[in-house]
Amino acid sequence: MYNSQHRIVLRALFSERDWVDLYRLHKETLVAPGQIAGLLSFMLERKYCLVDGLRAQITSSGRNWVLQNRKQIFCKVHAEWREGSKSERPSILMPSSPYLPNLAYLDRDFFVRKA
Amino acid sequence: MVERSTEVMSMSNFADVFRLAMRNQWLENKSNAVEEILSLCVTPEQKTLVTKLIERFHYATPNDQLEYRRSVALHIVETLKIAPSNAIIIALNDRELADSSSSYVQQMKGVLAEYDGWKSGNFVDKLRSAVSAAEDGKFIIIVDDFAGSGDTIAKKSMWLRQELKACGKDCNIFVAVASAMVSSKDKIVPLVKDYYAVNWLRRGLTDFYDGDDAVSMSLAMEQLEENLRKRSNGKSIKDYSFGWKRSEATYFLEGDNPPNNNFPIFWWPELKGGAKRNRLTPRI
Repeated sequence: MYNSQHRIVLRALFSERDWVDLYRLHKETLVAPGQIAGLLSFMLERKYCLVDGLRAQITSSGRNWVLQNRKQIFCKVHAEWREGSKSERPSILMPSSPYLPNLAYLDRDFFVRKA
Repeated sequence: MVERSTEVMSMSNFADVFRLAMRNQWLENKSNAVEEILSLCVTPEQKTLVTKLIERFHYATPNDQLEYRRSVALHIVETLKIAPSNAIIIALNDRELADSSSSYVQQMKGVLAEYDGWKSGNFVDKLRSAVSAAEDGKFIIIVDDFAGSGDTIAKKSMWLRQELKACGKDCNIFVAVASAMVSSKDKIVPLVKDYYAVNWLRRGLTDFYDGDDAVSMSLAMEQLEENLRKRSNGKSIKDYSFGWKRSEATYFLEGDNPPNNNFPIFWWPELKGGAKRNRLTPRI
């Protein structure tokens, strides 16, 4: 599974014909150097990129790989923020369960007083 | 959620974290923690020391740990040639609190089950129970995932020998651990029949530098430790300087509680002034 930081790096590499300045990418997006390194190590092993100091460049086989896997990389997104914490989730009501008000909150004497 | 950088790093720190992470995959999710330590460095010696220590870390994944347990089992069965009928595998845990040694004994069951004859009765997860479980002539094998200074194993082996002698039981005691500091041999070897470790680890500073380099690197570490709060969670930094009993360990098992034998710069909870740290090897 590719995370949002991987996607940022891959988008930057794919968009450039030339070398990508990794520090500039970090400054612009706060992508963590460890995450960049993890992705580039994976790509280097497969000759999908070149790394020279703090710059990286995607190779033609790397471009092909991104193209062939673009759905998996960019579309299969696990949005953890959608789920929220368990404590925030309300208990699930059955569709058939009636709504019952808390009778203690009802002003039973309203019509008597206002009549 | 995989953390991003909390703020823009200096180019120098970014470069150091990036280079370290390219060579050490386990740092992939630890950028902020590494950067925190690098930010404490005010001299080139401190920075050199910290980056070298991080590179020297012995890092093990759960798969590695399984292989270590298999190696311990192989040593017991094939090298020591101890038969299950004569063996008791024990943990050194003698307290009510959770302890890694008890769980290690449980995990050894899985790998020794691959050999014939081993039964539940061969495994004892508390030290005190080992005395009653032992019989004259049996082999007692102490297992654990890590031996740091060797003090714990030495103290408890000595206690075990005395208790067995008091009961009139004559048993040979062996120690087999996944990883151990080489410096622990001095304390343990005189007390047991055999001391085996899958990985022998050197002290991160003393065993890599000598002469003037050793002096300047030790000074660099002392200066780094000055940044740490003197007391935290009821512990005094003086007791843990350079790691418990100055073990100088650099050891990390993924998903496990790292030992206090590691340099405290990697796990001490607070900085001077009380600020909470983002730690490279957090521990309880």
